[in-house]
Amino acid sequence: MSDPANITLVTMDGTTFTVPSAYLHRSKLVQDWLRSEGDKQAMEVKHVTPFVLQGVLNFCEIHAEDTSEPLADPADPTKPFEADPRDDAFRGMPDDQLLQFTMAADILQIPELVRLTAQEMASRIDGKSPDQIRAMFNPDDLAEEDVDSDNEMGEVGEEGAISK
Amino acid sequence: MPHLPPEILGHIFRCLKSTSRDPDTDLLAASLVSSLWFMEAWPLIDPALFQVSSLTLKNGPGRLYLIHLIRLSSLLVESLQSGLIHCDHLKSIRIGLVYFGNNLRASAAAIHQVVRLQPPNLRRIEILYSYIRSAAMIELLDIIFPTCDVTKITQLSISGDKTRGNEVTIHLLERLGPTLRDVSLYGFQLDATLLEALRRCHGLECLFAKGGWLPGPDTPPAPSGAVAFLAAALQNLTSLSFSMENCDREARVSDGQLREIVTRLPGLTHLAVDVDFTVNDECLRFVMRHAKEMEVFALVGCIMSREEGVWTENDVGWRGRKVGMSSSFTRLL
Repeated sequence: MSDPANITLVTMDGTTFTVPSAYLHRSKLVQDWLRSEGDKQAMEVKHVTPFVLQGVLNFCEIHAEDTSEPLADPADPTKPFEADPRDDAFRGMPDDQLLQFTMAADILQIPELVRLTAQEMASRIDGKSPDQIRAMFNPDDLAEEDVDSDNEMGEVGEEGAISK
Repeated sequence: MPHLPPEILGHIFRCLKSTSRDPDTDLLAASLVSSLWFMEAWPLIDPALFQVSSLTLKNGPGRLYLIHLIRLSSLLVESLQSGLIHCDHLKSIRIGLVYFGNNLRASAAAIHQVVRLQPPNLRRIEILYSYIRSAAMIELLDIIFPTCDVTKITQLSISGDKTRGNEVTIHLLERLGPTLRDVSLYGFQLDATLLEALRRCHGLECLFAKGGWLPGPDTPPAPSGAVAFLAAALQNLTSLSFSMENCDREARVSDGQLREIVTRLPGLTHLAVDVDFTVNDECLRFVMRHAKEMEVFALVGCIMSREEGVWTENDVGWRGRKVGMSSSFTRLL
């Protein structure tokens, strides 16, 4: 049985990440897994690349101690979005990466990250033509199974420990 | 875009709707990215906002309006190319200009992008101009309606400055004439060139010309009997309304010309013209008997039709307005 204080996530290519379970308390997918299958060694996170999972876990670590109420609806218009300087990395990232983070946030069911990435995508769509939007979020680019690991979000270790 | 699940697209578009400076236009743009994006974005748009019935070229609103017009035109073009319905509501191009501004060429080019794709219901062009030079107006019109394009414009309405001549009107009549069915002129100079241009609009069914002005000595005037001259050339007319501001006798319709008009145009339902003193009750009775389809009939200056008791029910084949007719005729109506 795995250490209950930590959780190990396995990405699509087998890379593992072991992080404190508390980091992922806002992930509904992880919480459901811990309740039903927490006795297993590791949770598979298919369709997520190591690079993207690294970034997601960074986000979760940064916000692990946030005390705000969990978001029920990531696009709730009654709760105005306020940019958090700790999330600046998402605002500067390329469009294709942003798209992958958006999808990872959806897969892991982290409403706060869904909101952040959806808001960022919305701001990039603002004022654009359909052709420009297509060029920004070209679906063919998403077919790539992995992305360059040389990135600003941190290096992925062999065993998946988060670089700090 | 298959990689983004619908629920994520929904989140993105709802964020867009709540934070964008022009949310509906942005959502329209998003809806044109792909069929999946359309399905998620379109329900968030107020359809009434894109029931655009006209594209407008005008002075004044400035750069922001230009940007909006160019973007809206571009999106309408994409809608048309995608077979979507946004352009179905587009019925007219409106041009309201007082002066020539730097942005007008770009605005005209944006409108042309839509016009060239022939939106299914775009049939009308409305022009209101003054002060701006005719050459500048014609330049803009040529951008919107270049000669290489086929248009389906059937209705033309021009309200211009009659003191500046008819160049703009004539240019459009010659450009759009083959498809025109309905022409309205407010303020025109009745000269030979305009008359010829109108006569070449063979498909014309409705001609409304108000506020005509006789030209100065330097311009060849229209020939005497101009209205009858037009009627003779425009065999499809069902509505003819023609009035002048400084009308002399030669521009008025005479007894013989009025008879000729209703004889040549038995399908007339609407006739409103200036007439001279030769039009009397006998002439009117002739009109009644020949113009069986007439519904609206208005003669200005019909001073010779004053007799009582000359009208019978058989004389009146239609009901409608009357101007300057005898009281017995009025009673029958």
